[in-house]
Amino acid sequence: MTVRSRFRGRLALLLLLSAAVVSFYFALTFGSANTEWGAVLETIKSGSATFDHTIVMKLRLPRAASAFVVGGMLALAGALMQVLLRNPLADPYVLGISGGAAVAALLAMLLGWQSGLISIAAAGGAMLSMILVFTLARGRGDWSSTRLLLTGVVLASGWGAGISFILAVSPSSHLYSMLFWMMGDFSDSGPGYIRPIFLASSLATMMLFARNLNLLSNGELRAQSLGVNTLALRIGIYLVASLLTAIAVTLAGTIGFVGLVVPHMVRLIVGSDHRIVLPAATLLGGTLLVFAETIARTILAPRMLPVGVITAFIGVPLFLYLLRRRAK
Amino acid sequence: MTSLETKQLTIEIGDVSVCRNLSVNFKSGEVWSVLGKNGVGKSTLLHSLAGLQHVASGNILLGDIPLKDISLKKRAQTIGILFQEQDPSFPGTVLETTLTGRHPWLSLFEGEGENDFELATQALKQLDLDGMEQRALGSLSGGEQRRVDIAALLLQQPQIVLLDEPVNHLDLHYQIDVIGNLVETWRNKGGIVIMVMHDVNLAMRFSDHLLLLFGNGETYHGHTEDLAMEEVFSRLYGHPLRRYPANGKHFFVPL
Repeated sequence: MTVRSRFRGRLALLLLLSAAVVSFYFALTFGSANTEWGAVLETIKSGSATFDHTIVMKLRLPRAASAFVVGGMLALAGALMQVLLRNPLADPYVLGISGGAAVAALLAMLLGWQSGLISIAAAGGAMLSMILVFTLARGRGDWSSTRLLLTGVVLASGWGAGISFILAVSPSSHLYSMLFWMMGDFSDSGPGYIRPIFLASSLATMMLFARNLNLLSNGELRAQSLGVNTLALRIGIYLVASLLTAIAVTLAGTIGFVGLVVPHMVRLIVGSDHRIVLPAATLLGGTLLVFAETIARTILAPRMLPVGVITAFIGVPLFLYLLRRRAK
Repeated sequence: MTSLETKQLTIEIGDVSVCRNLSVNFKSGEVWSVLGKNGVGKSTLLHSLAGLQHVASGNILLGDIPLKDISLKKRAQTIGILFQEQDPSFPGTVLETTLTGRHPWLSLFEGEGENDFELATQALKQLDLDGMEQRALGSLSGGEQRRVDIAALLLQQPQIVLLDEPVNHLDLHYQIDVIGNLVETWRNKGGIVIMVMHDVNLAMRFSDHLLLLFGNGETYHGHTEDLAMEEVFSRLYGHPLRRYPANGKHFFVPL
């Protein structure tokens, strides 16, 4: 019985890993200029600066890699936030981190800053929001889920008003890039080793505490009675989830849906043991976003669609299907 | 031999004084029932004894060591608590929930081993839950969920068990059988049972000691037979009760 459920978890992870590989195959071969897989492999091996090589290595691979990392980060952050806030509606953006990033990024755009500086501004806004929620939610040592959630939600709606204000006063020439930034966009993604390493180490750290996460999701007192230092654990989750969100938002804007729904999809498939849920969500989030990114740049090529639109178009029916199947 | 002791313990919640300067020694092999009206803080007292609740003043000692100086892990290996309700945000299966009881005994890098699964299988069988291992917790009835919690408590193997209204949701048969067994097992192996009870007669049946909370900070504690008097219980519940002898024990009937 037990062997069977463990086997199921590992099988699911293996399948998700294969899906991730397939998504990269898809991302590297499809585009405005279709490239055969053989040619893709050839260019990777040869390393010569042909036209195909430039497209695959300079355009598609970095975008696919960024999409995978961002999707993984958002899904992992979403799963963590849902445990932290004990609320299935929680997502990486619920505590206002993305709102802070967006306000700062839009201000930077309004001031005509370059894209590198826009990213730095977004990171700064995310950090500011993170620190605000953390300190405001902590009254008299109490750091309850409800208080944290309310603080974050109120702050997020404040940022929302800020975004509307900036959009209203911005010259129309800026509006398109602003909207596109907010809907999610990989157009200026460098390769960067730090982000994948941060994702991997966040996942590894949280995996060590996955059993504690299971206990925490059964209730804080219950977890304490079984020896979990819940305050330290919750602060740890908050920091990791917030940093993941901040990095993802800085890199790609606020891509919706992945962080909310992927953790639920995973729970519907593999159950609620976070030792499986966390790696599975990371893999599925990454895979989904690689597919979405490929579709976003090919389906109406040469026009590019916002990735967030595609994630929702794929995710909504998939999720509803899983939910119905489970309900039977 | 284990012991749990309170020294000059004062607990308050809002305006309610749960206990004032309570000094009581729970000793190895004893079974205690905590009785009192609704809202006098019986659960709060239980949570305090488990170290889960801030106390206004005084000390709780496990052996000779203040509870707050004991590591969370060690504390969880020694003291286990059965909560009144389950409120999982992402409910697991019956087996997963049962195995949570092993948490205090596993290191950070360890998963549950064969031995833990063996213990879980035994506990679930003992509680008539075998065959339900893969059921989702949410699909169980209240009584079944309760028995899953009890199974987890058995896996935790604490010397001291604190039970918050253990018979809630349970059928008559399980009330007597499951709780009776648990109480006897702990009594025989020299553990300590402290339980919050609503039913005076079940308390009379299972426990050898009583702790009565009057809701104004006043408390009585001692041997069951010494405290089981009509006037004491009538005052405790604010309702007249009459005592009848039966099977060598006393039973109470409200008038």
